[in-house]
Amino acid sequence: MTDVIEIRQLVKRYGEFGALRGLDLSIPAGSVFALVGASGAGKTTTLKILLNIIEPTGGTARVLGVDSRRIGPSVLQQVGYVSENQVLPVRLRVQQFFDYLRPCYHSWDEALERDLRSQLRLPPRRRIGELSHGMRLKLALACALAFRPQLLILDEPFSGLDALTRDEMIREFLREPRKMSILISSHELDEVERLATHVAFLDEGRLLFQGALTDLREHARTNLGGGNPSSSLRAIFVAMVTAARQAVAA
Amino acid sequence: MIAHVLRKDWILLWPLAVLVTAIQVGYEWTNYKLGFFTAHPVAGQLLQLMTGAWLVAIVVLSAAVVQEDTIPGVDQDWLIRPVPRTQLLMAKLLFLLLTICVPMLLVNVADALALGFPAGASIGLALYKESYVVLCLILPVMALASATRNLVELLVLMAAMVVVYAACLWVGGAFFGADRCPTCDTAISWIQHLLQHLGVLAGAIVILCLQYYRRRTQLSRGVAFAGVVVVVCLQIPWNVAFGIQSWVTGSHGGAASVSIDVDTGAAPRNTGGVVTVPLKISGVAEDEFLMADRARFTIKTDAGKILYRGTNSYRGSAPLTADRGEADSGVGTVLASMELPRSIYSHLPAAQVQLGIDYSLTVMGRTAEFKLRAVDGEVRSPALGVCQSRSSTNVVLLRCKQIGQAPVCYRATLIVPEGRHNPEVLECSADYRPYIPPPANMIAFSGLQLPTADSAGLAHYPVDPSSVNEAYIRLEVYQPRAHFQRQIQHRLTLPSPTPTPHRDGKAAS
Repeated sequence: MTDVIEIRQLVKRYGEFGALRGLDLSIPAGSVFALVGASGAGKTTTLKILLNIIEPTGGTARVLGVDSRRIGPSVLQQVGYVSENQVLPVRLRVQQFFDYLRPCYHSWDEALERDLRSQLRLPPRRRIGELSHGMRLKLALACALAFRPQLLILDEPFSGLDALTRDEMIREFLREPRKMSILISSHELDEVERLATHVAFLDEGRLLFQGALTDLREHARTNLGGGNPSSSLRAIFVAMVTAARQAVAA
Repeated sequence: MIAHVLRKDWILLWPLAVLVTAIQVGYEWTNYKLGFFTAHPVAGQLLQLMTGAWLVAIVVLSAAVVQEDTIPGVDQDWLIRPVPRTQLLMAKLLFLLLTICVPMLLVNVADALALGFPAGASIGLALYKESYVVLCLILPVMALASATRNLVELLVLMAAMVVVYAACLWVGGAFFGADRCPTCDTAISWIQHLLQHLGVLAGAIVILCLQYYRRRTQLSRGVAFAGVVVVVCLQIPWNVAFGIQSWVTGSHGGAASVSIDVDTGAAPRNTGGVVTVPLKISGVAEDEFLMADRARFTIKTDAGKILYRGTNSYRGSAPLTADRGEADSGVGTVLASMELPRSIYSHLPAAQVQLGIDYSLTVMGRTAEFKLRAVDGEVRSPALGVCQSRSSTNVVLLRCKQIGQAPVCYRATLIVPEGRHNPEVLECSADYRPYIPPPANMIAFSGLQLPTADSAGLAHYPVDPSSVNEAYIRLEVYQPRAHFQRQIQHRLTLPSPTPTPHRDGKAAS
């Protein structure tokens, strides 16, 4: 299994504040990789660096084999991105937005677009600014899936969504095999647990753990005081972060 | 991709684009209705409103289209789309060309054709003017807009730049006085302005590249502020600018026969601190006159100590003619005036001093001569454009419209067939620029007034209102023929001040 994303000693500083402190990550192709951390752990910063939206202070990140600093249109043709903070062109209508994006992607699948729009019940005549937060996320997801990306990056996609919509998104769109790798950043651990094959824990810009979910449980059992192998992701995460912070404080 | 971005921006901004076009059409209509004599009652009021609205509309539309895909920030949707940056920038520029420049070009050409100017020249000059609008207005606004998130941020940035500009002016003025800007308000100020425009254009291109290819907003804003400081502080020295002007006019050696020196047959005067020195000029042809573009005076003691140094108090160029209209041909004796500050002339020694005058002069040469009726006359010529005359209360008005370069000076005389004529009227714009169009309208508007009566009854004119219907106007137009500099050195005794009866009835000491 090759890696779609390789991160080596990634550092990002904002003045004195270190948002990322030597992060190493490898995300295997075909995996659903969850980047888990508390608010301010550095998840969004990592994703923005991967998309060349912000520049790292040090280290390297490679996406689909390309250095993140050199990511341009050819890589973005293969990467879908959905973020809770994504600023869509609010005065465009839904239909106009699809019409605008369609020619941007060589691999845009119009049949898939029709399916997605129908399943997500996106109103074509409504302006994007008039859509609810959940509907906007659905729109962004439909736009990210319609060109069949190799890599889908989701930044807090469940934030602010009701339970029904979350279920629908996971069941209908993210758990279906689509020959793509998914990198999802979230602190909604229950949803992540239903979805992810691999997980990485981040705390204050440092990596605490990365690996398959089964490896995580094994790691927790051996390193965190004989925890139950069926412990929830939430319990393991809390235990790991607490232990790490105590170690730093000591 | 350019077409898709363009289409998206059109969907979002077409109402604003239509509004901008409506303002442009309104502006041109207003100009057209103003005619030659500002006859339309509404048009005059509308013009001022339209001029401001035109500028604001262009700034707002330019900013809006750039900020549809905002550069600063990390959450914009376009950042994660496979849109090449160059194509995005080109799409924005093309949008502005299509929504601002093309309609403006069409209405400008329509106006010029309605005035009877040839189609080829009208289209060519309109294209030239639109290039100027793109380079000097649209691109700089796009650059500033690309360094801001929204219109409010843009306005704040612009306001801050104005404050920096004003502060630089104030500091420069405090340290250097009038010497801060040697060419300001002179006939060759266009050279400084051209350099400033080139600087602004270079800055705009740097900012656009920084923003669209590197997204360095802080650095871009720094470039903008540094540009303001450079624009204010980097001033072209007078002699360099005058040399450039000579090169542009192509006047090398064209004034070799002109000589200018102090007329030793007449005595200098000192009237309330204004010292006038008689000068003798020769070598000026009959169809020429001299314009004094700058006179720099130096007064030194015999030992070489500088007592005074200053430039003529008026800025800009003025015909070098005799006082009180004695001989305005530029040939003969004229008076050069220097205004000495009271603090200096009251302490100057009564002994002899060395006077030095560095003159920068222009030979204005007659390029064409026309004749038209004084009342409701019209003349058309490539050198002149279209001129019309009309009689008004105590004056005959002469107004000219020209596409492209308008004459620098007009000399007009009212004449009746039997030969009586009024004194000549000489009107100069004192601006030697090659054709650089005003941004909003490519048609230059100029004119002069020929008096036929004095409302106070003190002056009597040979051609008065009773004979104006049969009179005609002899109109001569002048263009710079040569620029040259002369240094005059003369030893003289500065005259004591004589009282000036005009200042509150008190004599100046």
